[in-house]
Amino acid sequence: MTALLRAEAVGATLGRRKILSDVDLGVSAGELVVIIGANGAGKTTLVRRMAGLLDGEGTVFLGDQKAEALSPRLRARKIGYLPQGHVFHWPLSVADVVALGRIPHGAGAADLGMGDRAAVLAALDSTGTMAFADRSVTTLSGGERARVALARVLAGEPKIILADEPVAALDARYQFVVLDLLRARADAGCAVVAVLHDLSLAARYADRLVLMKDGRIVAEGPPEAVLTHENLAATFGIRATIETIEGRLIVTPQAAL
Amino acid sequence: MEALTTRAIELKGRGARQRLLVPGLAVLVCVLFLLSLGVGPVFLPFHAVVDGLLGTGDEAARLIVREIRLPRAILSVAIGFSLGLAGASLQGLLRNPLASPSLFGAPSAAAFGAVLVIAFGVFDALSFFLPMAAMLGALLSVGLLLLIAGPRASLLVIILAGLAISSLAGAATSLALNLAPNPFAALEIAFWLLGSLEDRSMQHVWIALPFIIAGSLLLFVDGAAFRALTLGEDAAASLGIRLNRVRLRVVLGVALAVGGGVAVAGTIGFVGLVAPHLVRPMVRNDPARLMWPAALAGAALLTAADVLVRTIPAQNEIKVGVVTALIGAPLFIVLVFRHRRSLTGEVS
Repeated sequence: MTALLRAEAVGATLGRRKILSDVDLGVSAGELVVIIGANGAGKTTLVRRMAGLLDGEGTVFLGDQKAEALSPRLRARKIGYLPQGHVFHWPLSVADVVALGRIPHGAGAADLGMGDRAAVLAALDSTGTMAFADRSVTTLSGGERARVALARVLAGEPKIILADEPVAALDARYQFVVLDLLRARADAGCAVVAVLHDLSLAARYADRLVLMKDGRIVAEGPPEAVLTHENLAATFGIRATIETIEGRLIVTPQAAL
Repeated sequence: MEALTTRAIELKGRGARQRLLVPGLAVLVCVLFLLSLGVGPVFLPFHAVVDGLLGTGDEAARLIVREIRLPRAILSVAIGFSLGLAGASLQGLLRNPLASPSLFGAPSAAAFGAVLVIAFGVFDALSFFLPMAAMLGALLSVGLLLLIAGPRASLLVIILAGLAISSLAGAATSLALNLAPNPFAALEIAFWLLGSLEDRSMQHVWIALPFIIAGSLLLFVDGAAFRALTLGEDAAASLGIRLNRVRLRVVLGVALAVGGGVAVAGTIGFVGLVAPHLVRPMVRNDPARLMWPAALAGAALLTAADVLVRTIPAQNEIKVGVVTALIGAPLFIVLVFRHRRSLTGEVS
């Protein structure tokens, strides 16, 4: 089975600093891949490079096509990118924000078509944001805004979803809500990549973990293979207890090394 | 499912207020346009204006309406329209309600370009070189600004850069005044800098209009991009928006529109800031739906201001640029006051 999204030997340089070097990563349909790593390890850069927002060495493939060969709009139909922070610069209504996800499908300044509207409604429905669809996004709580941002991505019906810290600053319940949604998209046949900071959550949701340090992938595989004492010490510089409770891998950081 | 379909109707449904906004503003602009043809030292009632326009009335009315007031009315509508549109576009591009051409030094830079041409009498003040020079000045300033600001600039950086460019253009203009060949030229420049639509002819209209129309057409392209930019530059790019092209179109469009306007009317500030602000709540803050109403509101504002200066009794006619600044600057202060919380957030 070919990967829906595949990065081959990609690198990126910001200013004069090499942020990303020689990374290979493939994500197949139905797979949820979680990227972890300390601050500055290059997680966001890797996701932006794969989303086509950064130029650099190597090649990103969508299926068997080179991503650069596609028009930005065609690429936007395939890849949904959820940036960090969930910022909204204008107090648009939630429904209007979610409708922005239809822009790659031609719903620009004009009103939405039937297909667009169905996709927007489905996205509002699945994220539980329908109840405040008419409210202004700037009046929402952090958890609500995170779900609206995700609904915007889902409205584009992308086969590939790249989510950069989708649950940062969310309370425990909304972390589950958002990650369950991403899990459901993967189960529905999408290729999903998420950057997470919480190691136990990463272990719980990931089919495959990717551990980064200094712009490179240093470990990749099932959670129990990646989340080892040696890896955590080498990448995060922490001592942690790693235990299995009720069949789940739980990582509790204990001290900085 | 029933809930879904009712919601679908709500999604589609815009209030009557929103649907009537553009036609309503268009009617307002038309009324002000006719008023502008009627008001002046000689007041002409509505039927006389129409007769004058059609050339069916007496000769005096025809002359007043067609030769004296028509160019002025056309210019006020066109320049106001393009300033409102330029303001809405810059605000959309930079995702900030305080952005406007005048804050970025575009009009001052355009004025400097035009002043150079007038002061040294290189070309006739009624040639196409005047708007070309003004446009080049505006282009330089807006381009320089975006270059300094870079893709991820905070508003603070943009405003400081705009201030610097404004000051530079202002100093250069003063230098040109300083070196002006004779005091009459200097006085002419100084008056012209205040921004006025007095005594303009159809020739002025033909000089400015092509630039204003070209600029406006360029600015109308990017409504969807401005809407996508609500999510920030990365997310907009990930939605397939080519931001470099959007930036280039906005810079060119603003430069063309501002350059064309400044070339014939001098610097008229704050219309680009105030017009979008007045109509934004009526389009639910949507930067794409904002563009037509903002442009029409700009046309209405400038035409109303130009009618106002003709009704204020004064020894010298008050310059319309002075009036827009007197109304606009306090409003700007109010805006800054209202947005100060989000502004400090932007800075940190």
